[in-house]
Amino acid sequence: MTIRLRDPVHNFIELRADEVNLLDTQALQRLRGIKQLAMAQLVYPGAVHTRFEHSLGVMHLSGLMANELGCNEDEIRLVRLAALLHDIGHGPFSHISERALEIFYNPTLSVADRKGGLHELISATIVERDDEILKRLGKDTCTNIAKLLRIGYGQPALKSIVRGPLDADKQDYLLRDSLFCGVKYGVFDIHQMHRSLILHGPEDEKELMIRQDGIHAVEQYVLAKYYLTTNVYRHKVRLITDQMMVRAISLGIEKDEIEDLKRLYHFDGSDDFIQYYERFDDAAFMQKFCLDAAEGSKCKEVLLRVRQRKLLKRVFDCRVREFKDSVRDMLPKLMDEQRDLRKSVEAALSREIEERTGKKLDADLVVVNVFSIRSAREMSRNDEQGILVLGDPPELFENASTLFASINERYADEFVEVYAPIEWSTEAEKNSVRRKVKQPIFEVIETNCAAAIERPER
Amino acid sequence: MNTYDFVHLALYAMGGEIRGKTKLQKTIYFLGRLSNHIDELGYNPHFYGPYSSEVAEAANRLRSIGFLEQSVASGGAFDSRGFEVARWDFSLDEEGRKVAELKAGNNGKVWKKIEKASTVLKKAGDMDYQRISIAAKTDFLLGQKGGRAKIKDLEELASRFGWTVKKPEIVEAGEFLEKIGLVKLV
Repeated sequence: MTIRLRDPVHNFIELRADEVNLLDTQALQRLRGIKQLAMAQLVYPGAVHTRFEHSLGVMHLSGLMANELGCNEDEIRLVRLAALLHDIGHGPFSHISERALEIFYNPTLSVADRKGGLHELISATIVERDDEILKRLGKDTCTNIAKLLRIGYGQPALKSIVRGPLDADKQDYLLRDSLFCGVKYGVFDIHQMHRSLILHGPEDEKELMIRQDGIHAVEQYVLAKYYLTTNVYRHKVRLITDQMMVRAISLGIEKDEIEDLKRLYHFDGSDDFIQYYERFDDAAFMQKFCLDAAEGSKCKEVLLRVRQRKLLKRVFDCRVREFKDSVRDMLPKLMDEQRDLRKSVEAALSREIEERTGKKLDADLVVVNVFSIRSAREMSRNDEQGILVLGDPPELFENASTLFASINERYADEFVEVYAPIEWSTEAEKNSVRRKVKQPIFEVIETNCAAAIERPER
Repeated sequence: MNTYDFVHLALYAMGGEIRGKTKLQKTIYFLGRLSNHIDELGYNPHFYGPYSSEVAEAANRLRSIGFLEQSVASGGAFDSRGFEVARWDFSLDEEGRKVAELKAGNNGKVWKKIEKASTVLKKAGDMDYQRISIAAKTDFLLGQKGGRAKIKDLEELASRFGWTVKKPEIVEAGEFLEKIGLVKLV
C-alpha cells in the first residue's frame, strides 16, 4: 500500500509500501523530536521543523533524482530507503550531539571506523542492528543501505544522491530551512537542476554531473548555501547557543560527572550504546539533564540559561590573522585537539574580564570560539569534491560557471570570539564593556597560546 | 598527526610551493602514501582520482590564517569555449615557512617520513596535473598495495577522463609510479 503525505516544501510526498512500514519504527519516530536546527528557534521562531520531515523530503528528492538519472527499480528503492534512514543516527539537538560525540567518543575507535563522520556511522549501525528495521526490510537490504550510507554501494552515483555536493540532503535542507526560518535565501530552481542531472563516465564508474543547461540552477543552489550559511547557520546568536549547549554537555560529563550523560556520548559501537542513544530526543534530553537534574549541576545551570534565553554575550571578536604567527597556527586547534589549553585560556580570560569590568563571572561560562568563513566559490564544494559539469572533458562547476569563475577564491578568513555571562542593557553599555576588554582579551589569548607553544607536550 | 599539520609540513617539504589545486591534492596523496599516513588524510575516490576535502580544508585554513599565498596564474591552457583556464598556485609565505620549521622540529618522527617521501617524489620528476592525476587514479584503483599496471591500462584511464594525453606523457605517469615504488610496470 502506498500513501501520500502533505509536505510544506514538496507538497505531496508518496511513500511506497516498505517505506510506510518503516515510518512507525521507533528509530524513525524519534526524529519527530529532534529539531533540524537545534536552538535556531531562539533567533528564527519558525525554525521548529524536525529531522523527521526532512528525512521524508530527502527520500522524495532522492527518488526524483534516481528516476531522472535512469536508475533501475532496485536502485531507486535502495536509494529512497537510504535517504529515509540517513539521519536516524542524529542525537538530541542534531549537530550539537554530533559535536559532543566528536569530543567524547571512545578513543580506541580506529580512524577507519570513524571515517565519514560519527553520526553517519551511528545511522548505519542502527540500520544494521535495529530489530524493527531488520524485521521490516530484511538483513540483506539493511546491509546494503548501511554500505550505501557509509562507503557507497552499487554505482558511485547512488552515493552521490545520498551524500555529495549535489545530494538530496542539501537540496531539502536549504529549501526547508529557508521556509521555516522565514528567509528567502534558500530558494533555487530545483526542477531545472534535476532536469540537467546526468551520469557520465565509464560503465562501472559513472559519476553524477550536470549538463551545461543546469549551470544557472546550480549557481542559485550554491548561492543559497552561501546565504543560509552566513545568515542562518552562522548567525551570532546561533553560534552562542550552540557553544552553550556543547559546554553544558562537557561540564555535565567532566565536572558534574553525570554517568548517564557520559554514556550518551561515549560512542564505542556497542549495542548498549545504541540502545541507550535511541532513547533520547530533544525533549527527553532536556527533561533528564535539565528539568529533572539535581540542583547544583553545572550542566543543568547552562541548559536552563539556554531554555530561558539568558544567553552569553559576545564580548570579543577578532580575525585570527591579527595574532602573531605561531598563535595563529594554534588558535583553530583550541576547538579540538587543544581542549586543555582552551580551558586554561578561558580561565585566564574569566579573571581578566572580572578585573576589567568589576563583575563576578562564572569561569565555566566563558567560552572561546574559533571558526572560519569561506568564499562563495569555495562553498560550491561543500565538504565534498567539486560539482562536475559535463563537457569534453568534464570540468569543475566553479570554473564552468561564468559567475563563480569571477569570484575571488582567495577570500578566506578565520575568526576568534569570546562569549561571557555578562549583562548589558544599552548599546552604549555594551560598547563600553567590549572596548574595556578588547585589548586585555587579545593579550591573554596571545600570551597563553604562545606559552603553550614554547612547552610542547610531545 | 592531523591533516592540517600534515599538509603544512608537506608543503614545506616540497619547497613551499605547489602549482595548481589538482597538483596539491595529488602531491599530498602521494606523500601520504609514501609516508604511511594516507589513512589519516581522508581521501575518497573521485572522477579525477583521489580527493580529500580535509586536505582542501587544511589548505584553506593555512590561507585564512595568512601562511599560504594563493595566486591565480595562467596554465597556458584553454577550455572548449576558448577561455583561458586559471590555475591556482600555492606558496608558503615567510611566516608559514617559519612556523612549519618549528612544527617540523616538534614532530621529528613524522617530519622525517614526510621529508623522505618528498625526496622520493621530487626525484621521480615534475609532473603536470594531468599526469599526476592519472598516476594517482591508477594507484588508487590498483588497491594501494603495490599492484601491477600496464601502460595500456593508463592509456585507457586517460581516455576515460576525456583527456587528450599523448602516449609519452602516459608512459611518464607510469614510470613515475614505478620510480616511487608504488607500482610495477609490466
